[in-house]
Amino acid sequence: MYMEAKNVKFTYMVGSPFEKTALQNINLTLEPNSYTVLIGHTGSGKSTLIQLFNGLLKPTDGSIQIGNREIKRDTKQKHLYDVRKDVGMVFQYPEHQLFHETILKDVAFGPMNFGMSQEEAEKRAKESLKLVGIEEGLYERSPFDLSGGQMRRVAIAGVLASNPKTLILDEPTAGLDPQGKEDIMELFYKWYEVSEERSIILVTHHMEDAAKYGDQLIVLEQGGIHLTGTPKEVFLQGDRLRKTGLSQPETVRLLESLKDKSKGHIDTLKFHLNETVDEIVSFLRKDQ
Amino acid sequence: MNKDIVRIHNLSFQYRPNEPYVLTDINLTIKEREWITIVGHNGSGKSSLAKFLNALFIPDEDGEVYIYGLNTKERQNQGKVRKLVAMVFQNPDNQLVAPTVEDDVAFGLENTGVPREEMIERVKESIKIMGLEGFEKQEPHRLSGGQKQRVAIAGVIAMKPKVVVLDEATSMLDPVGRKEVMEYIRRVHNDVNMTVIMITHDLNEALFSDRIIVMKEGKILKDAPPIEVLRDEELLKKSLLKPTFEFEVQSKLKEKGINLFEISPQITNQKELVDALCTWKQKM
Repeated sequence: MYMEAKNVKFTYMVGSPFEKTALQNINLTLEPNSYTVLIGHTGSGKSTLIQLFNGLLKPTDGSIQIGNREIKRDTKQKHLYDVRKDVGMVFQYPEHQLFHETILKDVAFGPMNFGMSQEEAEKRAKESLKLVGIEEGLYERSPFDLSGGQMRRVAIAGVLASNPKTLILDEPTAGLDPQGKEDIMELFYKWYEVSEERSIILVTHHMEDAAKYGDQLIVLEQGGIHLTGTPKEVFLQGDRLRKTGLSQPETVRLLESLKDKSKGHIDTLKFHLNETVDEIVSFLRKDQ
Repeated sequence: MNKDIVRIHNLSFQYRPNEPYVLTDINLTIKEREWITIVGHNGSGKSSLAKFLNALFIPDEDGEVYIYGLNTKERQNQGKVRKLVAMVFQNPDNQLVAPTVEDDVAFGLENTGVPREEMIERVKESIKIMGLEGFEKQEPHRLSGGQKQRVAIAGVIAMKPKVVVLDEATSMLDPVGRKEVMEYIRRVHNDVNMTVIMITHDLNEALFSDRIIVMKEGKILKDAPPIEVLRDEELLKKSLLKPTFEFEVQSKLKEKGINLFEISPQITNQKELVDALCTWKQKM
């Protein structure tokens, strides 16, 4: 789904002593079927931006386009409701939002809330649960009997069951063990690949994931866009990233440091372990 | 040789009867002033084990836990054990209770009736150790995640325990916050002379410890110095742990006939890896 931010400004608590502008001069285009990664420090405006793209907030100035709908400061609340059907949001620690007595009912809650019949909603719920790898034998159990990793999967299934076109992921792997992290990231990619209608916006602190999955990276800093481009374009600018307290993926950092010390010819923009090792091997074996 | 301060004998544990065991036949000894890291995937039993260390969990028939020689099964010991062993948990927001940083650090002391003069002294000292000077009057919820965890740790060390157990204390923090908290944990270990027991699934954070204890399905798979654990690829795979990036690079290079181990047996960080690569290149 096409999404765009036009001259967006967002200020919290306008007119109060606590007034604070969180975003300013934001101009962004998210193409259909794109995988966008938002990076930036705590407090850089990431959370505000994703809430604008999901209709949870309205811009103080400028406009947000989501598909063929436009959200401005005076857009009526009931129009935002439709937006939320199309844009699913996986918040941080989504398992904290589980509440129903059975796993199946919890996952079916979203689609039913959007007006689907119980039968249809449960069918959707089952499909989503299958996608996230929750076995059928667990459907009638309480979500609170599950392990942390499984609870996260159920919560994610709850978002997918509403069949959003764009999925917003806010640090979806925080607190999981390394294997769990990888599994969840792959699961989202699989969901994304299924249809050309689907897009993802990922908020993360993991530069490795940003490089691996993103086709567009957006670096936010103090409520503005600091850098934007493909992973290669962004991670080439190590100095500009470091200035905001961010870093490059570990593969790039290693290769840059090797290049600095050896003064050899090294292509530093490698994001995968194997290509990084190949680059090192070719450096070691080259006569220079 | 430092004395044994934690001794665990044949400890097994299940949350409810007829449920699988979360800990099976654990035997473990920890010495005073050691830095121990317990690693394992989600559900490996590491957090359950941690809760036995300060008598939050008490063994039933299966096994015994001694802290500074005190058997935690005996009621009169439990209070003492909790004074000796302090815990810091995962979520900073669940641990901070007071309206200002200094009040929060003082909270534990107030509850145990420490005299005012001494309390002020100890709060000041803990705040200094954790680098929180200037934040005394701030509201904890306005701090960054890393700063919040430092406040939580300051509150713990003000109680002057002998051992501090950190149960995934960095897992909710961003990379900057993690680094910051790790730095201060090193201080607590090196300057305040506390025994540190860290629970994590990030092997990068285990590099500074004296020993790594690898857990899987409630059992201890290995108890060895970091370098030995990191080099044991088989073990890491089996326990679903991700080797550190520097180790992954080394083992991939080895597959391609470049054995950096011959140049330097102890490569744990990026600088050492780059140095070894440059040495290798020069030798060619």
